[in-house]
Amino acid sequence: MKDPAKISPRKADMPQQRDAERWLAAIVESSDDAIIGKSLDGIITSWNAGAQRIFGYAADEAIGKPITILIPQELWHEEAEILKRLRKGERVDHYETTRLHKDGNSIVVSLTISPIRDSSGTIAGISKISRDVTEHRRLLASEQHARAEMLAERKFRELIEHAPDAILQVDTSGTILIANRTAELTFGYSLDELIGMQVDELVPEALRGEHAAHRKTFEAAGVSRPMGLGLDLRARRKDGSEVPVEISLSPAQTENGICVTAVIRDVTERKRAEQQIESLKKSYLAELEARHREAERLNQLKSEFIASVSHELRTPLHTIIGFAELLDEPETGPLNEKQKRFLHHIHTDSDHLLSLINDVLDLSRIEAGGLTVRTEGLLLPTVVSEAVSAIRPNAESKRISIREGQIPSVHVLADALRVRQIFYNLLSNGVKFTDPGGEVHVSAVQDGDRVEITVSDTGMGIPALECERIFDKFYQVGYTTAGVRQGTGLGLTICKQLVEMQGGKIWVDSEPGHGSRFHFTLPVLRDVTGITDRL
Amino acid sequence: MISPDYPQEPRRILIADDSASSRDLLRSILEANGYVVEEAEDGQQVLEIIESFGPHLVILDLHMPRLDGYSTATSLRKTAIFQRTPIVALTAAITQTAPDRISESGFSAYLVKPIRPSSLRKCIASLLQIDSI
Repeated sequence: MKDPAKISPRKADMPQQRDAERWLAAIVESSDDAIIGKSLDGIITSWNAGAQRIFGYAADEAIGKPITILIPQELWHEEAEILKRLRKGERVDHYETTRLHKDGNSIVVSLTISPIRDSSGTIAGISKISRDVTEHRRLLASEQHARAEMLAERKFRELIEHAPDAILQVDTSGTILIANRTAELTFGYSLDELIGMQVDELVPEALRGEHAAHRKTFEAAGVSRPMGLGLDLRARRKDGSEVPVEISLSPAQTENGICVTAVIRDVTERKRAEQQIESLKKSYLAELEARHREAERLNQLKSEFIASVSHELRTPLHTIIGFAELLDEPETGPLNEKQKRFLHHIHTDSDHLLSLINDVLDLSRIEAGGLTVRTEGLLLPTVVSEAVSAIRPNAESKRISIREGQIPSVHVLADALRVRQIFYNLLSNGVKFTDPGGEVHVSAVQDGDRVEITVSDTGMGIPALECERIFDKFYQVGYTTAGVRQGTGLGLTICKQLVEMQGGKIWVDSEPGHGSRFHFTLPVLRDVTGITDRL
Repeated sequence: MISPDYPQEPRRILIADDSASSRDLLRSILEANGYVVEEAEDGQQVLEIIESFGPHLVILDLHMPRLDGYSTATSLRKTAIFQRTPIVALTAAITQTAPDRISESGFSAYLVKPIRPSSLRKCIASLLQIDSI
């Protein structure tokens, strides 16, 4: 439905003017672009052939319809905006937007819209030139896409090329489709040689048959296999040499069907490092073992040395002590007081020297684990009276009385030599730390399957704090030993070790000024049959 | 003079030690008790003189040159007339295995140096008494 007043507002009564109008109409008609006239309220008023070609509507279908038939609904607001600008006399140039073809397809168009003014200059309508840029846009997009793809391809290629591992893609026939530069280095073939080559050629000859079978199994299972797995794999290089490799496999669905991507790592360096570590480890172990043997040998030497020193020291001491005792016997002849005093010094100092030698030897044996106890049934009263007799001369020379109290007649399970040593140590300590006129006393009580032996003295006693530490190695009670000839500080340590080795306990109770009571226990032997007299 | 532990005949004791002072000491201790003492410097000498001396008791130091105490005792035990003669071992140091070896070699007792005159006398008196029973 035409509104002649609006299409041709001017009178066309002059022949030249009519010719010019026809001329213009022909130009409009021949344009490839859609040239559409519309009213200010958006109604289509003119429609050329270009418009029909681009939008699919014939002129009589379009004219009189609202322009919105060409606009996707979601863009209607756009049209309102454009109209607003046009009413203000503005133009819209090369505005790209989407329009609808009659068949419903989207078309990308470039719009140039301008107001049309009548002779009085009033805006009377709108001319809208639409260029179909759909194809142009599609070309542009596909160009961009191609470029993006190329970039992606290049990135992907770089990734593959610069991968530190050799990467191969192999099809089901075993033909190599893709290889990277590291593959060239790993296998010694050029890329040209690798592509199209049978992958089995990269496997050491001896394993090729097996490899083909493995390939089939892998393709059938289609499960990725990670690197490592502890497999000792080898690859064959072009020059025939072999390199240790680790291989991971993963199946990939490609346009060439199922392919296998293999990542192959040359582990030559790593293997070499591992071998180095292994050989270092071996040499360290060997060295460690050698050192251990050397330490044992030195320990053995030390023990032998100590035994030998002890032996060598005791041999002359034996005669010094022996002769000193003989000199003291009246049978040897009378001595004057001075001679007796000198002799006494020889006697006591050589005894001291002897106990030092004994203690050092014992402790070194205990510490080396070289001292074991040989227990046997020993009749306690015999053991006690022997011990007491041994210490008696020493005690009497100091005017200390040494007495045996109640001793139950039981057999103790103990080492004769070591029990004697314990008694000797405790009794001589008692004598050493007791003033002349005092007393050292030995008694014992049976308590079930053990017997508790007590050696008490009337000496200076030990402060409570010291009672614990008195059994520590080299510990000596400080001020209480003032004026008393020093021992080795090992006697009680040795006693403790010896008592414990025989299954007993040792402890002390004492207070300064009230003497000390050393207690130790030994197991009692119940069944006394089969006890053999010792040597 | 301490009275001897024997009734009539003086008891003869053979002592063997490579240390002269040790031999002198043993001799002095034993002679004081009236024993008759003969000395040897090593095991070899013991074997050479023992039959002519015919001791009632033998004291052997374990560590001697040429023939040590162990070997000497072993040899003596193989000789019929000395099978029951008390043999006492003397040693300066008693090691862990020594007591076994001493008894296996046929010794009757052992004494550890330094030897106290009293303990030597006691040991010998008891061995000779046991032997005379």
